[in-house]
Amino acid sequence: MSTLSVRHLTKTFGALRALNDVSFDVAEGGVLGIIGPNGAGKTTLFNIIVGIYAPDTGDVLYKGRSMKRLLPHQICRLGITKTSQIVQPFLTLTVRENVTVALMFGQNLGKKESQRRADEILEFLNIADVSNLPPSAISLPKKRRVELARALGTGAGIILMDENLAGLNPKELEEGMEIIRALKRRGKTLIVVEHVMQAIMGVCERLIVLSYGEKIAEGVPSVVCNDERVVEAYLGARACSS
Amino acid sequence: MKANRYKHLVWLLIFVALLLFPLLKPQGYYFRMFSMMFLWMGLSSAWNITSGFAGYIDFGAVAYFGIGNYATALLMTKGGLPFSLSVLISGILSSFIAMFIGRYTMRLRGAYFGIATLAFAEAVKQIVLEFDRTFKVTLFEGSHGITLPIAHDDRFFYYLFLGILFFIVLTAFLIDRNKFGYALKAIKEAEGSAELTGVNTRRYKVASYALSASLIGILGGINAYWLTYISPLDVFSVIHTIHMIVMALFGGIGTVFGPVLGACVISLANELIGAKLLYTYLLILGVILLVVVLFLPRGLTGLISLKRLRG
Repeated sequence: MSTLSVRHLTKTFGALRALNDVSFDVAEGGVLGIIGPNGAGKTTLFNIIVGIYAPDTGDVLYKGRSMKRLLPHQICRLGITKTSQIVQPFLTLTVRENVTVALMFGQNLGKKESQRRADEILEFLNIADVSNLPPSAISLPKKRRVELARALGTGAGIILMDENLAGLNPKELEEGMEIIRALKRRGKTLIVVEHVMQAIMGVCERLIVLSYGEKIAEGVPSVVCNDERVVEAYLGARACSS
Repeated sequence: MKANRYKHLVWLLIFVALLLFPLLKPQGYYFRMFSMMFLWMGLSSAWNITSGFAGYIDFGAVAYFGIGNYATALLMTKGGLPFSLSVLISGILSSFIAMFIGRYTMRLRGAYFGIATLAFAEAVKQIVLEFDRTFKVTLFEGSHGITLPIAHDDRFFYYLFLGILFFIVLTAFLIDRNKFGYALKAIKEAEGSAELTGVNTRRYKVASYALSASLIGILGGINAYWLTYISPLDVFSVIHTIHMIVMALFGGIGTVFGPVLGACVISLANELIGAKLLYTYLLILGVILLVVVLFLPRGLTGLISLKRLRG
């Protein structure tokens, strides 16, 4: 059974149709990739799922129940959150406090317990060395990692990752992919928006392609990225050979 | 951590010294001067809970000060209630009004929230000024103001203001390190991220606003009984809000002790130079604000802990 069902989502911003009748299902405990050119509606889709935007029509079902009119913090407590493409950490708090906030409010834990588990998460993500620094003092790849740590801290079972692996060097990218695999082993369900095809091919079991707000392909990555429409809309020739 | 504990000890010692101060049998003037300073420290600290911790800069905080003044005055003179009960009701009334107003104004951010709250405070002032004439009743007494019974001596108000101040600072101190405080700081830094992280941002924002309002309302109530005469143009004056803002900024907005420190310095300066330089005083206040914003964005407490690494 699918844990998350996106049903006929349509969203317009003025004359721009950002999403047009997009539907798909997400199985529990896997990695789903979403690719598409800039402006295809990937981030809009994420923002609707986590409750930042309301769709014009359509609905998102979580375990069969509609999430209409729920606010992001309510959806977060149900078990769905996202990491933002443009990182927005709590700048005057330390990295550890950033994650502590997520544990305190996402999982309703006490402060002491939250601090302890925050340290575990930072250890797991290999950024324990910066836990006492404010996010303004660390590099962008690490800020992205903090963003992920915050999402993990909420205890959400479904995490939407919006270009969390962008702008990393090969070593960091490999480490990021390893973290995604580790999260999968822990039973998390991940939806990954990414332009780095190497990462998409390396971790995703299924792939959805959006273009101009429409779903143009869905399936196993190796098949999808040989699809003629996908190649034309986004990839260009021979992207899958790598 | 050790430096922190040392700092708290200093504050506690100052508090004990202030408790013992009346034993020196000082003149009435000193009682009144200290009471005035405690009032401002309390107002600035209460204002800081919404504006400093949650980052929603309230330009209409004087509304709750005025509401507290008038609620206490009316309950005592027209309702015949005792002072203690009147003040308590003033605080509760202020927080209820704030919950209602906050529900709508706190959807706005930054300058828009500031404008909305400023307009709210001015509107309340106009209502109190014109209500009687418009509805042909005798309730708020319009611009005549209300005179309250004279009862207690200076020492009573000295201890009352000191006690309330202690309570407000303790409240801010506890908020700063518990879950509520983390919610407010998360909202201040990145409201969107806070919401995504599971923080019910609207509830915490409105709760902080209502808390600030109730504390300011209580101080207003005490102020009415202390001064024994209030009028709308005085207790709803926008200058009171400006004072709260400048004091908190000067001391260190968003910190526990910053507003206390800022209010101490500025209300003392007000007392010393305000009387002599009645017309240039506001100008001096403006210059202080400019200097703080430009050179001391974290205020006096920021200056003290400038290089201190968090941890």
